[in-house]
Amino acid sequence: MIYLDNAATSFPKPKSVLSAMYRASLYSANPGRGGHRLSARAGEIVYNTREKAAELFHADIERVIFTKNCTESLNTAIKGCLKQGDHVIISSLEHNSLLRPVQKLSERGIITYDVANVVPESDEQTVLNFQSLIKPNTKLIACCHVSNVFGTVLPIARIGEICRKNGILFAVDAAQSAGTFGYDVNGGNIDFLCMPGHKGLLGPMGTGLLILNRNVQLDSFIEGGTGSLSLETSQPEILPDKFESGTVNLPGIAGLYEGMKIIENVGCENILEKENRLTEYLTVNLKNIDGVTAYDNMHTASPSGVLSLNIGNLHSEQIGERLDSLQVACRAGYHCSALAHKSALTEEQGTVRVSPGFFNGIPDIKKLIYCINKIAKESKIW
Amino acid sequence: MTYIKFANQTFAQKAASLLNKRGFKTRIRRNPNPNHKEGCNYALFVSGDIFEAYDIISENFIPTFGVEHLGDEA
Repeated sequence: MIYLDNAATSFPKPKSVLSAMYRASLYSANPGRGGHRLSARAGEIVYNTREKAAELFHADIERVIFTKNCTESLNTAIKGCLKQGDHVIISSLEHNSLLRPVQKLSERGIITYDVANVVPESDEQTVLNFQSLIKPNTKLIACCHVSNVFGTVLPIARIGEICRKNGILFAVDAAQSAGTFGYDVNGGNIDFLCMPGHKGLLGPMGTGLLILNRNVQLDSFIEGGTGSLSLETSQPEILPDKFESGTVNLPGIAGLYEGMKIIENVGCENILEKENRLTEYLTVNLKNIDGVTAYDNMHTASPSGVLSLNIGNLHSEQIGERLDSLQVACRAGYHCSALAHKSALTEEQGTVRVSPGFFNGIPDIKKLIYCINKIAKESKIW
Repeated sequence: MTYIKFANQTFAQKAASLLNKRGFKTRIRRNPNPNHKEGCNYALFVSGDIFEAYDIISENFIPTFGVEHLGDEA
């Protein structure tokens, strides 16, 4: 099977990740709780992973928060910073992980929000679209860095500048960009950097990170036992405890450390360059196949490793199923992103998303092209 | 015995990491004598001048519960 669905989760997981998970399960107990050596060892694993993330994303160690996925990170950031009467701006390419928490707060009458249109061919226009929606009560701009459907790269550096200039908080969904794009949380304009551990960071599923800028305050979203200030009835204010109630996913965190170590050794920019090269190769070759639509018109000048496509009028799910029968794994359908499909006018068919990753090469893309060609020819017979 | 108290393990580890880079040897344990206000917390034992260590920790804005001294019988 050729795996080209790395935007959903990276696959396969590196052996070092799997070994670390096994060792953590075998030799460690609950971190940050007991005083015995099994607990202390677990605490070291958690700390080392936190420290590694802090180095990678240029943040304070205690402001690296472990979550179970990017969705939890986004919910924590969004629901922790917004109050009655606040206004929020999101982009037209958001995943439901960001849209739905905002929508929920809106339905409860707590906030209002607007959607800024992303214009792939003009970062300038995209930035202006965000700027034009700012109101006196705008508290937060929240958007993805890279669209999970089309690979569109948003100009987050410039959007962040607008946020700082206007005293607005800035949350970035780095679900498709962590591990391929570099971030400087303390040195930049991002207040909340949200990411999964199991995609670009090559870690196991069930891991995520919320990284807080040094200067930002946030309310907790979940309260409970933290192993600290145990006799207090109120949730501790100290970090990271404030946001890590309950036992953390130790095997996952151990695996995530190994994943981040690989990213650190190889370098984000090299991984992005490779994924982009594969996507470019695919895009160029798809142009030569009759009936195939490659949505590279949704790409900006900045590269990313995600491309959506369709074949004729076939529903994307049919294409995905046929690809699976030909031993190629791609994601089809709507990718939990109604807004993105509305933007690209693909609500009817959905799209087939191709997302090469760390372990893919040109032969994998050649096989995909062969299969797409085959399905395109078959579709004429159907 | 004398040690520096921290509200959580993360801050104790951060302090230990910092002090290790400055040549101190450190060991983290649960606080053997927590008071009822602090609840569970962590103790950092330092070989060398503990007050110098404490100053380094404070200069780097790592929050502590201060320095605790227990009699030898503890």
